[in-house]
Amino acid sequence: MSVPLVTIATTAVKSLTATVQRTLLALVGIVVGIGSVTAMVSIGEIARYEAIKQFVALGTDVLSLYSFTSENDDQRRKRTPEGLLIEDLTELSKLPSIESTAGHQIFWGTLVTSSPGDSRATLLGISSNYFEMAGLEIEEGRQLSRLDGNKPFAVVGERIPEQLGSRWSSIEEGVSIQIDDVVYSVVGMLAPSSSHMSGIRPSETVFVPLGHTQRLTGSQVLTQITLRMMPGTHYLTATNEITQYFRRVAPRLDIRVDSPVRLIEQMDAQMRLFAILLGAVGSISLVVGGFGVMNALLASVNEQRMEIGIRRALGARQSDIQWQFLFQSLIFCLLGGGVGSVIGIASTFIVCIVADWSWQFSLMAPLLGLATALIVGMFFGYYPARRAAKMDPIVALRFS
Amino acid sequence: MNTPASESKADWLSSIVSRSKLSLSRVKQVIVGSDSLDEQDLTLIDSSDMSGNSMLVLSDIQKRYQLGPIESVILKDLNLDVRTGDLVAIMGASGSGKSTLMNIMGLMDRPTSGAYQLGGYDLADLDDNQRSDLRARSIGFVFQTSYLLPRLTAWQNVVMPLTYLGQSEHALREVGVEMLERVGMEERADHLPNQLSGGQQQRVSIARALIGNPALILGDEPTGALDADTSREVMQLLVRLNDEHKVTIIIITHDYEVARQCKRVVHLVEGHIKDWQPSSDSEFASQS
Repeated sequence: MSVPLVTIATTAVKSLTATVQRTLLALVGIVVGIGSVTAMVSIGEIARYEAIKQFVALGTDVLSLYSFTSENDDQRRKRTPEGLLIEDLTELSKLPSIESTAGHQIFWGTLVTSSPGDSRATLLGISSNYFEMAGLEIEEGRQLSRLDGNKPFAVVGERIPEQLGSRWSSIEEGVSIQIDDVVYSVVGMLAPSSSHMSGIRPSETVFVPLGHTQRLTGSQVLTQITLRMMPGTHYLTATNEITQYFRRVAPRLDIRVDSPVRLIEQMDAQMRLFAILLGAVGSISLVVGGFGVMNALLASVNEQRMEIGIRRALGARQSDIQWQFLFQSLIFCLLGGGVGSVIGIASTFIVCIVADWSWQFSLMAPLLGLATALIVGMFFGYYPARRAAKMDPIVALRFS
Repeated sequence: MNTPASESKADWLSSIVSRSKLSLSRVKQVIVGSDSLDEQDLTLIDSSDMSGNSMLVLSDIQKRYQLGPIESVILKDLNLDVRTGDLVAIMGASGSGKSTLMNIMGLMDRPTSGAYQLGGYDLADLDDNQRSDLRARSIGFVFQTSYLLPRLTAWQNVVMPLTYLGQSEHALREVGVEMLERVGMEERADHLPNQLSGGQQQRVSIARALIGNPALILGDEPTGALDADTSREVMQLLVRLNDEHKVTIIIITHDYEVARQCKRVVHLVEGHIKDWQPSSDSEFASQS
């Protein structure tokens, strides 16, 4: 002899509308709580997707190798000059887990432009297979080759022509750029790319042969070596071989090997922490909101004492009354959850515009928000509902 | 789908069936000595049974409250036997325990000791759910104020007890309007309580009390909040229902005008019942 769900629901809605104003106020807390949970989940998802997107352009089989020189232990260095050297490029490519290597030196110079203020330019001396390794493509002209040796030839990022203004004509007709006091013949221009290898913006960089920068600076030391692993190699295997190689040739050199896989792992861990923090904030507002709902429900139970008494006198079981108020709480929280989800998604959208991320709708976030709302509704509705159910009908009727 | 005609036929059938079941279970009671009611039995207590038999028997009812060191006895050794189809007024001064008696008879409260039988069943051991179901089905309440739910229309108020027996409201409109017809309120079926006068509200609440085809209607000062004319109308309605439908009605009142229209009047004095039959209207008048 159970009361149909529809009856419970309509009863709950009817008595809910009796206290519209208080209902709305109590909803604010739930809206904020669910809003932040929803925003947390979807912003987290999009941020992770954005970060991974950059690595995917690079390929997950590429490792980056850096060396560190700490100033106070210069004395202990055996190899001079210290750091990653051009000869390491060839030696590393012979390791069993390494398919190919590329290296570069990085400098900054002043780009002479047509406008009065000259602009800073990043100058990257690169080994011949750098573009292929970095996933950069040539839009116009050709790329740098081994044959360019140490000659002042340059490939420019696609934003460089803008910076040059009227000094730029076209690659076919022959164009040259001046950085500090060296004039380079431009042989090619890059296609736009989202790659961010080596921590530079390729679109605003001037690429020249490694041999040239070596002669210019007299330094053999590479800023970074990029390695492509043999297909199917785990990055830890490759890292091991690289570490062992350097332990042999330069035992005092501190090196660091970054793998996109490792970075993604680290980022995942970071995102998890981020999610936990945001989740904590969301949970706090949900708890506050939940108590708001509980408070509103308790007031509502008190106000509807007469109704409870009448219903009980006319045959409602305790459980009927309990469900009536539990349903109110659920409707409360689902309503708040719905509004909160919409606000959460809207704020995600705004964050995406501000951060210049591509926005995408994930169903996961609002679903999680609504599920949370349901749980909050159940949890905080239980006590008022129980109190209503336990009310003595005689007392309830006597005092109304 | 049940049409009203087939429903009444079904009612007639089920009342025959239930009568036979009831006598069977009485036999069982006698043999096994068990007075317990199972859920099936609960449906068997209705007004169509046992004309002339006892509908309600209270034996040696005691109700005591312990308030700190002070024990107050509200009802002591109260005995009352109400026949099926009777119309009884229970009179008493305020503080005589009328409300407590009402609550016990209405299954809203339990006696400290003593037995309560309704339709031959001992109701002492019922749990809260069974008592709730009996309130929905077998006992109709008419309170001093109508106690209609303000957001429900008249017919929705009338059928509310049935929704707690698992029927869904939207299927019950016809039944509700039919019941409103009995109290002359069918025109107002879709009105909200605040669109009705006090007397009209009380009529709706009487229709609500009748909805479960109850064994017993309990009136707690049902005319107490009404003016003289309206009060008379409502009493006439109750008398008519008792007359035509043989519904057993117990009214608690301190109004002699009301008691005068009842078949039997009992007095509640210091927790006891004293039967009192007025021999004439003049004796009634001298009392008031």
